[in-house]
Amino acid sequence: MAIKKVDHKKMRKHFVGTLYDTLEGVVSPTPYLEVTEGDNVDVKFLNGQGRLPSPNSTEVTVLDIDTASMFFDDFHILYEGVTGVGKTYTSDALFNTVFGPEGNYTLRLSGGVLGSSALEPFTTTILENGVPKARIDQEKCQQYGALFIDEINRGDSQEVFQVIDGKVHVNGDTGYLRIPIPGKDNQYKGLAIIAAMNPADAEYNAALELDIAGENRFLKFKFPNGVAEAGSSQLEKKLAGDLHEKFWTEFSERSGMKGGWKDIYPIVTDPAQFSTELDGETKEFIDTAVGYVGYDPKETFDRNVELMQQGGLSPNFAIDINHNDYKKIRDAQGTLKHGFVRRDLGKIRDLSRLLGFIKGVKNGSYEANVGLNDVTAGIGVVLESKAITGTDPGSLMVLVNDARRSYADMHKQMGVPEGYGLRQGVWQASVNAGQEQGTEAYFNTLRAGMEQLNTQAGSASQSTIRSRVLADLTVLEHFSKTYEADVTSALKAKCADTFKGFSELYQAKKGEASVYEHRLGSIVG
Amino acid sequence: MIKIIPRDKIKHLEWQAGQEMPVVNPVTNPTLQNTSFPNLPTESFLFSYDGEHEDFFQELITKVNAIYSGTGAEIPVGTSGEIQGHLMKRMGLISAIANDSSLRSSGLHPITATQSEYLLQAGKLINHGDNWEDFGMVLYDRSSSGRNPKEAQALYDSLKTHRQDLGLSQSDLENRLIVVNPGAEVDSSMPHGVKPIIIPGITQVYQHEVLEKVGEDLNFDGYGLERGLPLLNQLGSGSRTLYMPNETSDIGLRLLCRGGGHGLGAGDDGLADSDSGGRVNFARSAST
Repeated sequence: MAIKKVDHKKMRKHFVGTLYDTLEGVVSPTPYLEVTEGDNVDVKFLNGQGRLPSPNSTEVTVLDIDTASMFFDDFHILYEGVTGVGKTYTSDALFNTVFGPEGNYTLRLSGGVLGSSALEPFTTTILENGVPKARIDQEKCQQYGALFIDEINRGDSQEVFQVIDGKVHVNGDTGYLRIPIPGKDNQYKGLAIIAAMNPADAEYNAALELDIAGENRFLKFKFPNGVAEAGSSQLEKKLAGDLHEKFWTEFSERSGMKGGWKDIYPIVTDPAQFSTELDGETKEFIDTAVGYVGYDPKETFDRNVELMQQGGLSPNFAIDINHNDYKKIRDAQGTLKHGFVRRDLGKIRDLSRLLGFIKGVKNGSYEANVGLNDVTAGIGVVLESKAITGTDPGSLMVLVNDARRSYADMHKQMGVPEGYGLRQGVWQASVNAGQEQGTEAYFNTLRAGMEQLNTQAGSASQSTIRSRVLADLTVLEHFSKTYEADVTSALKAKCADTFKGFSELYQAKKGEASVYEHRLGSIVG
Repeated sequence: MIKIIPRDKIKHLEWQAGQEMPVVNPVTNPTLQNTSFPNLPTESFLFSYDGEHEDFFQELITKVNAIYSGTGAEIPVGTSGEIQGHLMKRMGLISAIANDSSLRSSGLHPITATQSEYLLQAGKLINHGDNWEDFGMVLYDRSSSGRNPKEAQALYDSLKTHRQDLGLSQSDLENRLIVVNPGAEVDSSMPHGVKPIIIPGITQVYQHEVLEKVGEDLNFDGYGLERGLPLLNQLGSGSRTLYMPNETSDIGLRLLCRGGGHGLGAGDDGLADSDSGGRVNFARSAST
């Protein structure tokens, strides 16, 4: 099939719309969470029990998550839940509909001495000198569009990870699990993977906690139990007829595109259509909010002030640990089993993208725009996964909202355009001034921006976020002074070449101090 | 890859030769912002007519008396020596500073109960053996049979007004609350001519576990480093005394103070005690 010009948005609309219509009689909606936007963002975990809709709320169901995840190749979905709640059913229905029985594979890792191999679907056995030997089957590697891995915590994790990463190794052979994207040379669509596991608790004593490497590869959701809520309405839902045929026929009628799933699906869900990066504003919000929400804000503040003071900048704000707000922050954080770790940042990013796209589907834009509200909701979901079982996530969401409000206020105060970070804004204004008026103007603009941010703060969240932005700018100032001759030289270049020069300088010198890499990567990297 | 912001969108951030540091959209009214009180100030000094901070204190006295003359918050004028202080006077000082940008810019504030304990522990509290100091109030209840019922009701009304600024829930208002460094508002219906008010960002309001131990005085060990009063696990023995109300109900509004003998008080009821030993310690806030 020749594709000349692809209207991705229209295709997304037809694909998702047709899919939902096809599955309407098959999958009962299982509400997972609701995001309400307004002055605050609220994330409510629904556990299968939907709420009366309101104008600013978006209900996210399991099918929404599964469907949206097919558009992203760099993360996969993992459901944790007890047997019988429908973890397998929804994914089966979705994958059979899109890929047909031959295009998807269900891998059950039952454990035990002769446990199933995750590589089995992609290998074949041949006789070599009369000895059976497993070899990669390259045809099978490109046979499937999707894989459902059941009981993922019971298998050989190394084999499972190879499959998830889309690159399998058997006896010296390598196979790539992916489908070529028609019309694009050497570009591929990865496997859509959904995994499931029983909770690693006493009732499921053969199930283990997924290790960190496993956790890193998935966005893990607690599968809601909507059985009691849906009641007998679920009895009418069943996998019947050729959903695959029905889906693609209908899609073809709506979109005018003809071909099998291998011709169309990789184009519709081409991961390149959505950016893998967040913009400077949302990235900066994550950088600054995590130190407030997931850690003792006073510790975060003290660390940042230490850097500021090393750079000769004293904060004109503080955190009052005797204030009620601080006590409430610490009380709320007391419900966390553990703080944020590095992989959580990636998860927040991915969740934000997923939620952004689901919102786009629901509001008819079919875009995956990620704003502060999506990141706020993403942080809320990650926080919920860290809370002690039974904790009301409301108090944690209050913290995330505090951070969002404080960051948004600072952004407005500085007049930096939407989509860009404060640090980016101050630094790029410094570069612009330096290009026109010389190095002194570069440093003066940088310092002026810092002074402008170094004002009194009205809350712990403002102080914490302000301290992070200022500490990073202090590091930037130090870096610039240390390599002033290079900075001067870069400023003499024309237009965008100056920024390129800075980026090259940063790449060359970031190894000189870890703080450069940690604090400057998202500004000049 | 660096995403470049169109220059015209951030031009306002650029420094120009001879130009003052740019100020765009200042955040909020500074009187509503939090002043931060470090637990252990680098120094403290007594409210005095003369000395290193003479200019500040004389200006403060003038401005206090311009508002509170004829009330319990009025400060006698003078030229030398330490100034006797009780809670009513302290409230006037706090309001005068909060409402005057010139005074506020000095960054000097009456110390908090917690700061007093940290200073005491560090051996930096001036002449503490002879002096006592009121830091604020304890609102036990608003019973008409309790002490200082009018001030209690006025304080409660102000707490209600500023509940969200203080991070308090509705139910918090019905609990026993410590109110450190309240301000004053002239009100002729009050026994001392002023009523206590909350000044957001300055007045500290919080609960404390030890407030449940009413009915008797208690010995304790160490310092009240957790919000100015000892914790329950410090009670039982020790050389210091925590003076609590004798009553267990209908307690009303009491003083939060440090006594001259190193004791701490949450039970006294004299909001304008004229005992000459009362003092007001000042320290510099972190936010100047």
